[in-house]
Amino acid sequence: MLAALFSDCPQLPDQSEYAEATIGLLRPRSSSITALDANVLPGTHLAYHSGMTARTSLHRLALAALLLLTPLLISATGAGLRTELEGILVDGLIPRDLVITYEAMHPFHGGAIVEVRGDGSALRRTRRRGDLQASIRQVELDRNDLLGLVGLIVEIEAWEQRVPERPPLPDEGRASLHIVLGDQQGGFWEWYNDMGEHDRLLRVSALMTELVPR
Amino acid sequence: MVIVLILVGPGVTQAKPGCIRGLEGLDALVELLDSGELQDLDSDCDGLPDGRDEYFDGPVTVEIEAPWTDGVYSWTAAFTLTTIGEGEHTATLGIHLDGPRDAQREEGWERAAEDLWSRDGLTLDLVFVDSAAEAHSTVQVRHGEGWANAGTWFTADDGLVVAHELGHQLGLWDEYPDPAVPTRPVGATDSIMRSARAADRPRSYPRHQEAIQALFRCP
Repeated sequence: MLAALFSDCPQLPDQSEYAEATIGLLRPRSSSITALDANVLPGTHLAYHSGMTARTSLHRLALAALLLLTPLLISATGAGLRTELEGILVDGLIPRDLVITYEAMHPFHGGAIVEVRGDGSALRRTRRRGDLQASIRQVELDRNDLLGLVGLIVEIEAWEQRVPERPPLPDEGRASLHIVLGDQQGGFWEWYNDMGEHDRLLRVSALMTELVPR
Repeated sequence: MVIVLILVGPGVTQAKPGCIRGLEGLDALVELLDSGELQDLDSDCDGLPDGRDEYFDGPVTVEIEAPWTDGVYSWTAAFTLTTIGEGEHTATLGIHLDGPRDAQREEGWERAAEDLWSRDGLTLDLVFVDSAAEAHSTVQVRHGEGWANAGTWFTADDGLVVAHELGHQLGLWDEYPDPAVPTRPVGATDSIMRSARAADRPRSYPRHQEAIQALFRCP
């Protein structure tokens, strides 16, 4: 149905894929698995071939209906993101379009940004106080690392913003976690200095900076 | 003589204060302060209102307590400003430290801040007081490292960081580029309000002292 919506859109190279990506339902198909997938995500091929079609179709229908009816509600509550992330843990399949970003970078204090992608690539930018340029470190993560990270994100319910908004003091800053998965996205922030009080973002920070050391 | 001057309202954050001219005495001054009609009064710009030069002996002190904003950032600038001569002022900052205390560390903070801010007609007198009631403001002190800000310092912070944060208590804005405040003027790389990294050899500029002294209603 969604593909039909784009039938008049000539600039889309592959309308069906675009439509599928738009509703954020699909794990990568076996035909799209690259050598990197095979190396980084061992066992992925088998998982893709075993029972994906029926389950994905059902998910697709159910979530498409949900998305078409209540897109704003899903976006606001993070329910869609939660469903997708929990699905990853159930299936053991990591979508290539998953992007998890921890950001604790302050223009005065410096800090770090760590970005982990579903294809296993991970990048860390680190900038010390007063430096203009950030140092960059790239690594490749394995499937277990990614699943561990997703598990932690689900455990701390990372789609919930629990710290209330207030004006910052001069030089005060936030750390945040942002997750993008297809059309779903969400995350939360905490005051950087107060992360220890909540034990949510601090755990993510510790894990991601361990996965991608400076 | 002590004048309690409470600056309120968002307008004070960017507006250059007016001057006092033709002041006829304490009653007139108090009346003037109460009326809020300080604009366009001018002064002889020696750090003392014209009238007070004639009528009052000794230092004149103004208690500054004003809400301050810089884009999304919000805080209260609070200190005591005393005229000690023509264009000469002392800014006294009473800070209550809430957290681990260490005399040696605090002495280092005090020396660094006073050295950095005491120039160009301004003398900073930083006093760490035991009681929050006696203080202009309370700063939380936490163990280890973190992102120091105007309300929280860390035991690992050096004197430059503390001097930077005290700049906010004195009513100064940050000068580093910040996406949250795209209109913020950016200072020189060695301005203390832009960088507190020792390698940048941060220092204060005369405009900083002028901005602080301008709170005395003198350009």
